[in-house]
Amino acid sequence: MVTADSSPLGRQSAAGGRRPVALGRLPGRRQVVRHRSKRGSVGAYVYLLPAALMLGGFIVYPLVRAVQYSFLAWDGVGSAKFTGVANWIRLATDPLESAALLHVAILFAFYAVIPMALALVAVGVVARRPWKGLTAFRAIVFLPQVLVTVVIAIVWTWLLGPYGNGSINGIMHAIGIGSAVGPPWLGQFSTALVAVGLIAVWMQFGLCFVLFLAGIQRIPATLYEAARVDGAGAVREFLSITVPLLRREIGAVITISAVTALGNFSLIYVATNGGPGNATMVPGLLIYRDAFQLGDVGDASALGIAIAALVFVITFGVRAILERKAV
Amino acid sequence: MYEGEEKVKVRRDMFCSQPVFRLGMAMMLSCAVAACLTGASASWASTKSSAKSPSKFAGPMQEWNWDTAGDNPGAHAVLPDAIKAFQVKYPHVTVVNTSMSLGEQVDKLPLAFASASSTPMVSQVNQGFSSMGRLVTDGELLPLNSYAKKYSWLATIGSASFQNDSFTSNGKNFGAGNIYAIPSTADEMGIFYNKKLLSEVGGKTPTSWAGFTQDMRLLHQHGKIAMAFGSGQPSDYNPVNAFDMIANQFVSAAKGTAWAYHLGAHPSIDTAGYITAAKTMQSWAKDGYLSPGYAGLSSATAISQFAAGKAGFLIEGNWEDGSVTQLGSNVGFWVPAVTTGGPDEGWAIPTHSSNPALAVAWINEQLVPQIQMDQLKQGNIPLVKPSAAALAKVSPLMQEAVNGWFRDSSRNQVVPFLADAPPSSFLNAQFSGIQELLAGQSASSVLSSWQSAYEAYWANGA
Repeated sequence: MVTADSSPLGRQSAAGGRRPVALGRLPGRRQVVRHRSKRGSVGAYVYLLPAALMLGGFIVYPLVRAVQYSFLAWDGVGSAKFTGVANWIRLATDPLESAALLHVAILFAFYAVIPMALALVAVGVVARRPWKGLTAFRAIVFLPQVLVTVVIAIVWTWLLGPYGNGSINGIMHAIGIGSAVGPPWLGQFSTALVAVGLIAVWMQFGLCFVLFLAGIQRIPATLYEAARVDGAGAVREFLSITVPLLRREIGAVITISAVTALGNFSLIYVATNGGPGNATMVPGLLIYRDAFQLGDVGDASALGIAIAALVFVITFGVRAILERKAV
Repeated sequence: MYEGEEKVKVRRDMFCSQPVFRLGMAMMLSCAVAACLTGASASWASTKSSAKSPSKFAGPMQEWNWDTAGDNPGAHAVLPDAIKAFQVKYPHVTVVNTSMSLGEQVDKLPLAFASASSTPMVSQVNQGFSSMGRLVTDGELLPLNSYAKKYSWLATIGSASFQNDSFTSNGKNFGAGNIYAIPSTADEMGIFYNKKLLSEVGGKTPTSWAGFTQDMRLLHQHGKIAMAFGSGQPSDYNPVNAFDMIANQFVSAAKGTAWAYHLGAHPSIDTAGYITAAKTMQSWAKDGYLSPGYAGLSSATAISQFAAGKAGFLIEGNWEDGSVTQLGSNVGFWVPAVTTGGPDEGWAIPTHSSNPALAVAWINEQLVPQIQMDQLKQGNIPLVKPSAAALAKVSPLMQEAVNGWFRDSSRNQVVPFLADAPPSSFLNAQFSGIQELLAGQSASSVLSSWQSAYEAYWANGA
């Protein structure tokens, strides 16, 4: 039997890496251990240096500069003027920016909640027995993740157009539903945001499905067998075993989807450009317009920082709620 | 002074110390001396003779323009000839051409022009606050007043042509102050019509707004698409252009121009004339005159629809002449007595241009008779009025466009594009506002929001 102290990694391995190494307490080894520890820590810092430089240069420094810019009126080229919290006040009071945040909250349901629910159900179904062609299905549904978003947006713009061979309206008309010229799904105020959301569902479903499928494979089959012996049906198995034991994957999906939804730009830019009117306006597009088209880097920075803060809050919230309790 | 300002200054200082800059300045100086010696006049001969000795220029010359095949097919077709002619005249110079869309220009130019390493030698620049205004504000363009005078450009194409390319040096006032770009062609909105479809429904060639609207009614009654129209794709200019055209029928050219240039006391777009125009556009949508599914169609699709003979009318600029050629003699172009337009994107010289003298030579070359004739042949309106004999050689479509331009511009009946007015976000506001209008938003609320943004600029920004 290998005890914590007799293990080559000491208690660290036994404690899952959460407790410090206790080798220094062993008699006669203190000096040696200290020496090794000091040299080891210096070495560790050297190893960390490239990553620290990259993170510092490409994440922390731009973040700090963006915070600085958020207090300026600056077009990105000429002279800047300190405006205090004016950009932040505008962020809180501008109806367009508020609408953009509301839209992104709605889109979050399409990016995370709906594809996650669909993928959980799909995984729950395929987990109960072997399915032929599952590998091919997995590859097909994952395809949107490897396609360029601009390509996806263009194709869906055609599919959701008012008419045309192969368009959704065209197919519906061919089978006797609707007229030859159907609704312009992406061009109507009443349907545009939902239409964009459904594209997002199509894009995100594959990611959720593949992650959940990988997760479900590490759930011991004995748990399902025991549940069946106890008389559990498919729904009980799904709710009591599958969902709780996929908590870590669900956390990962929510985090990834939150980042994708909040940073949404390419899909909206190509498919609707925020229209009709501002019905599909999202913060990512506003940031681009402010910074590059309107020369309002200060406002763009304030919005960018706000979005980054939201991503942090969601990420840490998800970790706190789901991942720490994950099996 | 903040970092951005420092950088620009440092770059300028570094640039000014470079030998190439000093060489350029020497060339400009010699240009000026030569111009004084030869005497500037309005004739083509003087324009040509004022160009510098070809042997003095050598190396690559980067020129940027918006003459893509999609956006500006006529000018795109002229480019190879213009480049060839320039390289023949300046055999040691190699022209490096870059064409980009209007959207790309808006995104790219302000940052590219900020640095000597990324700026072209000469570039076309769109008019208005969102494009030229930003560049002027940041000191990224050279004022061309002195060159215009030395090379007789003002006399050659008329001083009125330069108002759209003028800004005060602080970039705050449009249509006044320094000249920052020299156009070589004109843009004008008009109404393309399909003669065959009109004759099928008993319509007539439009010569008045009432006749035109009557024709639309006839087309619709006969189950035809009255107006090819698309407003569903990002940055579609067709609805914006159509609104400007409609507005001209209800608002005088003087009032429209005053609003664009902010002239007179309290210029406003929130007036009865503009509201009537907005309601007219709404009624076209409501009555089914516009392309079915227009809210999901791109402007390009609408133009293709008209070019395929599926619609009776298309409100667009003359630059789309090249896009409707498949209709042959069945297509006509009517320019109303008041129209929207102005000189096309002019050629500007970035402050950090590595050779302003060569850039001046390029601009000068765009106004020589050969290139102006090429522009006419390829469907563009040359700013130098062509002779009757030259005009007789081009299509009737082009004749209508050219005659319409010189008639309306000589009477000051050409109104600038409304989107050129401030604030710089006005174009985006117009894109979204028209979509809201067509979806049923009240005309007065849309125009009121545009006017509020305009007034806020003049109250705070100017």
